[in-house]
Amino acid sequence: MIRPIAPQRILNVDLTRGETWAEVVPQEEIVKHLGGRGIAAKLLYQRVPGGIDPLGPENALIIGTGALTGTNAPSSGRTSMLCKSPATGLYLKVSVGGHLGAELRFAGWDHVVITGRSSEPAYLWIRDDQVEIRPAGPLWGQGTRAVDARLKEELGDRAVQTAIIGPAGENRVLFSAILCSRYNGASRGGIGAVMGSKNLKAIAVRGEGGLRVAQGEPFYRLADHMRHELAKDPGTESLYDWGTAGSIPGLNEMGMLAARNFSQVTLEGAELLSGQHLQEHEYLIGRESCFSCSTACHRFVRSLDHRWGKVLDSGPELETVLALGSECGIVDTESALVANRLCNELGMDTISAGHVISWAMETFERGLIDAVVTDGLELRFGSPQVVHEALERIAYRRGDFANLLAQGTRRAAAAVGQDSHRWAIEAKGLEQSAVDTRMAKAYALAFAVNPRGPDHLMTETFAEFGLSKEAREVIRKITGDEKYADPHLTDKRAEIVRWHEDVYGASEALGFCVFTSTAAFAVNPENMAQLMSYALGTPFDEEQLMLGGRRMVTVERCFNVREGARRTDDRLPWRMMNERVPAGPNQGMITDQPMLDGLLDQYYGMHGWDSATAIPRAETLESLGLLELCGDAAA
Amino acid sequence: MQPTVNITVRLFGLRGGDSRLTRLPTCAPAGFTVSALLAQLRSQAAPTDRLASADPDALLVLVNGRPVQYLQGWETRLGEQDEITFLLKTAGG
Repeated sequence: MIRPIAPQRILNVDLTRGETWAEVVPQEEIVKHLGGRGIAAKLLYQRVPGGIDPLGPENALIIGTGALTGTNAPSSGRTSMLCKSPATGLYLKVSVGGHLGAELRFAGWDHVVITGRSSEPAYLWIRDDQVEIRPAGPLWGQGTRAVDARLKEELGDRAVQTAIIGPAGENRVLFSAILCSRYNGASRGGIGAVMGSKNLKAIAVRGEGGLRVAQGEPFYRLADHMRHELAKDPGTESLYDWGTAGSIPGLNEMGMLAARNFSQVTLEGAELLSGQHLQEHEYLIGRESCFSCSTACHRFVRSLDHRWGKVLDSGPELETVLALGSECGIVDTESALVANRLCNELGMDTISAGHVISWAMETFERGLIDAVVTDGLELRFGSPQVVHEALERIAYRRGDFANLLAQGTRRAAAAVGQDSHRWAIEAKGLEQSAVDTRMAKAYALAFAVNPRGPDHLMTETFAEFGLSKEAREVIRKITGDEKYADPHLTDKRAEIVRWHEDVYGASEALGFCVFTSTAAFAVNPENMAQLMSYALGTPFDEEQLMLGGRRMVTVERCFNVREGARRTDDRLPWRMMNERVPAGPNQGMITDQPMLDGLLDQYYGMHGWDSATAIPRAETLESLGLLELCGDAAA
Repeated sequence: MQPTVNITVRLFGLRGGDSRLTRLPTCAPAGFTVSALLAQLRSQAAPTDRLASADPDALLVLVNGRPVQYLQGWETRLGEQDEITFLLKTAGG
């Protein structure tokens, strides 16, 4: 069946009752909340009551495809997955690329809402309108790669797209992930544990329908133009060549490389972890694109000497080689590939896994724990085998210490005590991604207010570095002056963060990869809105797009308010707020509490949130048309 | 004789197909700018070097680890013992 972009369809799945049913989202809701992350955030707010156990059957796992996913809009294959996070107890959105979202739309579904708990291990098979909850007993306990292959064989179709948890999700590791086919992971906040708590091993999708935009010719002409503009961006070219890990040499040179649990900002030999090294030494054997993307930043890699085990798998991203490499004091290419493969197979978030291990290494080296406590693990920086062993133990919760690490850095530090929270690189219960927020002030603010915890995957303010004329133009557009394209400044950071929040949210709601809109800038609010207008066949402008982004951010804030989050939760890890950058060009910099307080005051004021509590005011919700939805959370 | 300064040029991924670091200790006339240094390096580069063909806006240029955008841009003047690093920009992470 060929469908229009709107109205949209929700597939509801109640695993407790074994029932499925369809629901319609009218076009006016798409105009208001945009689709993808926007509609999913609204559904999460409506369907997950405050205070529920994230690993209980009341939690919902919601999949939201981008409003333009499945079309040829450039790099528009992203899909959002939402739930209440078991790591933070707060709102969680995870974005994933690949082909899952497009396949869902071709099957006739724009959103999937999964609630309840199956009495036995199950998988969900979606083939167009035919939806089945099937037994998955033989798949339980298996790694994600084996399950992907087995499902494709069982279903007799190599084009089936999958979303799978590994043993870590089954064992409810609080940073377990959902792996999508071979190259993509929805990884943060323990979303895999939520799927595991529902006894849901996998989702398999195949669709034979399609989508029809309302005004085809101008839509495809603009999409083609955007694709060409994107290809001209030098950052995009490097992404193709080297992937995200191509940033390693630059970060190391600028003294911004997270190393040894953020106690260092450079590391000798870090180039061995770089995308350049993978390419030059022929670890890299292939590149892969997400749906409708011509950048192909995903890697396919192999091990060469198999020193730590054989690898033939999707390649590591920048954050992965930092978390499992430099953060653990390891500059060994083969080790990074093996650690990445283990996380993929076991189904774990590489960022959190690396950081909980690097926290344990620092704790061990400081003498707060010993090998008796760690069940024999000599957790010293620079030990590849120890990292690989720890990953396996965590995924299976093998031994008391691994069981503790499986609960994440915050809980582990609370259990060990003795000031070990000072080097626990987390806030809200989520491990921070590897951006040094001491020297980049918009990043610091964005990380502190991020509803899921401190990372760059809800708002990316890369433009504040001003490293290209396009980035400086973005900053000029937001602030009125290019001089604010300087990450060390605190002026105008609230404006920069709020604008990026709106753009990031809108990008994800439409399905665009945020690399194209907040790292490269060829996809911008103006052309996104124009595409949406052509797709829907109704006037739709930049202001409406940005307003949709703002609504999303506000609904997410209200979700957290309902869970009890307040201003004091908007913080950065202790080390980032209390220990200055130790060396390099940014030596001495810090974002301490008084500085963060100043940034937060500006930010809450701009949003119309109460400054003391960070709760949205009723009049703010009313102006956004959200009073009916979120009024129970208003100040 | 014109006074000179001793500098080190560091190139990442800009020489032929070699993506490793190339370190070039060199002398430059006092007051030499980053822009002039890049022009000189390009004039000496092999045709196959990415340095020869890269759009200047595609380059990340650091002087002692600091992006030139936070200094005086391409007109940043080089001093004794400065390290000037040229890399290709990357997006995403």
